[in-house]
Formats: sequence, structure tokens, C-alpha cells
Amino acid sequence: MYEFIRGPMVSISFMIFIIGLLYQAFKFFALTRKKELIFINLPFNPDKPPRKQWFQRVVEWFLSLRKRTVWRVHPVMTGITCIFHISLFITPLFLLGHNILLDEAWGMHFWSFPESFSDGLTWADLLCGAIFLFRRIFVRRVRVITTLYDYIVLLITVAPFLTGTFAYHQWFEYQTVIFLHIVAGEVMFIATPFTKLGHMLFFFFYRFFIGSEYSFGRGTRMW
Amino acid sequence: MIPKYNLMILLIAALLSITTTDLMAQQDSLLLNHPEIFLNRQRPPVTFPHNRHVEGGPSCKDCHHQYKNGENSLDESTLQEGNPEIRCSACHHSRSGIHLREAFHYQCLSCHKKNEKERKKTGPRFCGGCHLWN
Ligand code: HEC
Ligand code: HEC
Ligand code: HEC
Ligand code: HEC
Ligand code: HEM
Repeated sequence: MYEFIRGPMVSISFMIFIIGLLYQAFKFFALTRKKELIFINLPFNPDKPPRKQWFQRVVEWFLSLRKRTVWRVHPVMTGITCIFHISLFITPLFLLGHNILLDEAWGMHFWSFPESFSDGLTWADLLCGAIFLFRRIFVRRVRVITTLYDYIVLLITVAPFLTGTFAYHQWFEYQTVIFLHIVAGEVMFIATPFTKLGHMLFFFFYRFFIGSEYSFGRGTRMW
Repeated sequence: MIPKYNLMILLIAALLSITTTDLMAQQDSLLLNHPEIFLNRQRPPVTFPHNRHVEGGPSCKDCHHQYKNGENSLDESTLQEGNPEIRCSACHHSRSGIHLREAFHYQCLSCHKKNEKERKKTGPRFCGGCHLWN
């Protein structure tokens, strides 16, 4: 059991993660279909596609942040969310400990950050997680729409980071902590396709494929 | 009178045997530490209980090697304490195909992993089992 969780279960949970996301993507395209455009999402006029270089568009997009997006309305919260999500992805991917094990298991690995830098990213991530938690507890307008489910999903995302730092610093009994860390990572992999953590995929689908006032592109798909 | 002395001698002998075995064990544990190759160390050096790896089980050539035509042609009589040519770092360093870090990790981790799979006695498989901060 113990060996199974530390060995084959890592690959199994990763497969569930990949296949689960593919299944969700398949379901999304099966349930939606292309519809005639009912409204036009300014500033992208479909009749006259903008003939601009990509960098011009990127610059314009950045400038437009000043006046129309959530960056303008909630700059602090948006900044925290950005840091959280970036470190959520790059920390485990470029972590030396993960890459050495990956090299050992599959003979391939990513480039790695210095460990002290990864540790800093981990602390940043934990700090952001703590802010999310306190916001849910103490900010009334957030609290009223918070259920147990939200706390559980927050715990699932933060647990690999919490146990990971404890393992790195060898706080508490290492063998127990590293086992909990592996379990936490596996739970996160398995939960992602089937909980609201699936927004890892659906964020892009909604923003690019569905027509709405929030889309980045010309959304043309509808339910 | 005599039984008392006997007891004392026994006690002293017991104490001595504890200290001597302890000393021997310490001698047989090697500290793997290569600051000249790992210039900006990230992890503490590793205490390697050489004796416990030799006791029953692997042969010297499972770990020590010198390849000739893809064969391990190491002469075991060269495995003497203080011989610089048998140190892993003699051939595995920053410019070799297999860097010293990988030489250690591949060899140590793969055997520990294999033994765990086969449910035999085994050693650490994760970082903190070998690299102990103190
Ligand atoms: C599990 C792997 C392993 C096995 C089996 C093994 N060795 Fe070693 N041995 C090592 C490692 C690793 C070192 C450290 C080399 C270094 O410092 O670069 C070492 C170092 C040594 C040294 C040098 C010690 C010093 O302080 O200079 C000698 C001598 C030695 N081994 C002899 C033997 C003999 C004889 C056998 C067989 C009875 C044997 N070893 C079996 C892994 C092993
Ligand atoms: C006399 C030089 C020499 C010494 C000393 C030496 N190696 Fe090697 N080692 C090699 C060569 C040559 C290869 C083959 C490299 C290749 O295939 O590119 C190799 C390959 C390896 C490999 C790859 C897997 C394998 O066994 O083929 C590992 C792991 C390894 N060495 C670990 C060690 C360790 C640990 C030590 C110290 C106990 C050590 N080496 C001592 C020359 C040496
Ligand atoms: C050929 C297989 C093999 C290789 C190679 C090997 N080990 Fe081990 N290792 C073992 C086994 C078997 C044990 C369990 C020994 C015991 O409990 O008596 C062990 C135990 C250990 C332990 C724990 C000892 C304890 O006190 O519990 C450490 C530390 C360790 N190995 C370090 C290393 C390092 C460092 C290397 C690489 C230089 C290495 N091992 C290479 C088989 C191996
Ligand atoms: C079986 C024991 C063992 C395990 C497990 C192990 N290492 Fe090592 N590692 C070594 C040995 C031995 C060295 C060589 C140390 C030396 O000679 O200075 C080493 C060297 C290193 C080095 C290069 C030296 C330095 O401080 O920069 C790094 C980095 C490192 N290990 C990181 C890790 C990480 C991260 C993990 C977890 C995935 C890990 N190791 C797991 C035995 C181990
Ligand atoms: C999505 C899942 C995962 C995330 C987000 C994650 C994240 C982390 C983090 C943040 C650290 C600590 C970094 C630091 O503080 O320096 C860490 C360390 C580590 N993780 Fe993971 N991890 C995940 C899954 C796994 C899995 C499945 C394994 C098992 C094979 C694993 C093995 C390790 C190891 C061995 C360490 C190093 C511990 C040490 O330094 O002793 N991780 N991880």
C-alpha cells in the first residue's frame, strides 16, 4: 500500500489528470456548437479583422487594461491571484527535487530553478493561499457565497505546497511528511478535472470560444 | 569478592565493545562531500554507510567500475582505502558525460528503488533521506 502510493500511484494519478481533462474538453465541444454571431464583441470587429502585428495588439491590450478590466477595479486582488497562479504552475514544474525523480523514473526532466528560489516561490504561494482563506472568512460579500466545497478545493491546491516546504526544510518526521506530500500531489491531480479546479482548462475555453462580454477572442460557440 | 570483580570486568568489557563497534562503524561510513565539483552547494553532503552496503548482497563491482569495451574490467585489488583512482569523482565530474551528481543519484536511487519494488531491505528514495540538514 505504502509502496504503491509512492510508486505506481503517481503515474496513475497523472494519467487520470490528463485523460480527465481530455474528457472534459471533449464534453465541452460536444455540448456546444457554432452559432451565428448575435452581438459583436468590440474592439474586435469580425467584418474587418484587425491587420496588425501581434506585438502591436499586445501593447494595445496592455494599455487598454488601464480602463476596462478587473486590473482597474481590484488591482491588489488581481495581482495576488496572478502571483498565485504563476507560482502554482512554475514551482512544481521547475523544482529540482521533482526533476531528479522524473529523470530517474522516465529519463527526462525539465530545467530547474535554484532550490532557494523555488522555496521563495512556495512561500509566496502559501501567503497568497492564506490571503484567499482569510478573505473567505472575513470579507462578508465573499463569505456569503462561500461553501465548504470552496474551502476543500483551496486546501487541495495549497496542501502540496504546505507539505512540500515541510519536506524541503525537513520539519517534523521526514518520511511521514514526504508521504503526505505525495498523497497531496496525487489528490490534486485526480481532483483537477472533476472539480472547479477544471478552470485550468475551462478558463481558456470560456474566454476564447464562448461569445460573451468577457471573451478575449471572437467567441462563436454557444450552448 | 570474586563475583563482584567478574561483574566489573564484564561491565568494562561490555562498555569497551560498544565504543569499539561504534568507532568501527564511524570509520566505515564515508562522508560524500565534493565542494570542488559542486561549487554552489544546494544540499548538505551525504553520509554513506559503506559497511552496510557491503554486508551480504552486492559485490564490489556492482558499484565500483572501470569500463573497457563496455565491460566492467575493474581489478578488485585496486579497491584500497586512499586510492584516488577509485573515487567516483576521478571520472565523473563537471565535464564528463555523466556528471558526478547524476553518477551518485542514478546509482544510489535506482538500487534503492529496485529493492523497494522487490520488497527487500533498502535505503532512502527521497532527497531528505540522504541530504540531512542538521
Ligand atoms: C553500494 C555501492 C558500493 C558497493 C557495493 C561497494 N562500494 Fe566501495 N564505495 C562506494 C562509494 C559510493 C564510495 C565513495 C567513492 C568516492 O568517495 O568517490 C566507495 C569507496 C570505497 C573505497 C574508498 C574509501 C576511501 O576512503 O578512500 C574503498 C577502498 C572501497 N569503496 C572498497 C570497496 C570494496 C572492497 C567493496 C566490495 C567488498 C566495495 N567497496 C563495495 C560504493 C560501494
Ligand atoms: C575509472 C573511471 C570511473 C570511475 C572511478 C567511476 N566511473 Fe562511473 N562510469 C565510468 C564510465 C566510463 C561510464 C560509462 C559512461 C558512458 O556510458 O557514457 C560510467 C557510467 C556510470 C553510470 C551509468 C550507469 C552505468 O553503470 O553504466 C553510473 C550511475 C556511474 N558511472 C556511477 C559511478 C559511481 C557511483 C562511481 C563511484 C563509486 C563511479 N561511477 C566511478 C567511469 C568511471
Ligand atoms: C546495490 C544496491 C545499493 C546501492 C547502489 C546503494 N544502496 Fe544504499 N542501501 C541499500 C540497501 C540494501 C540498504 C539497506 C541496508 C540495511 O538496512 O542494512 C541501503 C541503505 C542505505 C542508507 C540507510 C542506512 C540506514 O542507516 O538505514 C543510506 C543512507 C544509503 N543506503 C545511502 C546510499 C548512497 C548515498 C548510495 C550511493 C552512493 C547508495 N546508498 C547506493 C542498497 C544500495
Ligand atoms: C540515496 C541518496 C540520495 C538521495 C535520495 C538524493 N541524493 Fe542528492 N546526492 C547524493 C550524493 C551522494 C551526492 C554527492 C554529494 C557530494 O559528493 O558532495 C548528491 C548530490 C546532490 C546535489 C549536488 C550537490 C549540491 O549540494 O549542490 C544536489 C543539488 C542534490 N544531490 C539534490 C538532491 C535532491 C533534490 C534530491 C531529491 C530528489 C536528492 N538529491 C536525493 C545522494 C542522494
Ligand atoms: C501537483 C502536485 C505537486 C505540487 C504542486 C508539488 C509542489 C512541491 C513543492 C512546492 C515543494 C517544495 C519546494 C520547496 O519548498 O523548496 C515540493 C517538494 C517535493 N516534492 Fe512535490 N509537488 C507535487 C507533487 C509531487 C509528487 C506526485 C511527488 C512524488 C513523487 C513529489 C515529490 C516531491 C519531492 C521529493 C520534493 C522535495 C522534498 C525535499 O526537498 O526533501 N511532489 N513539491
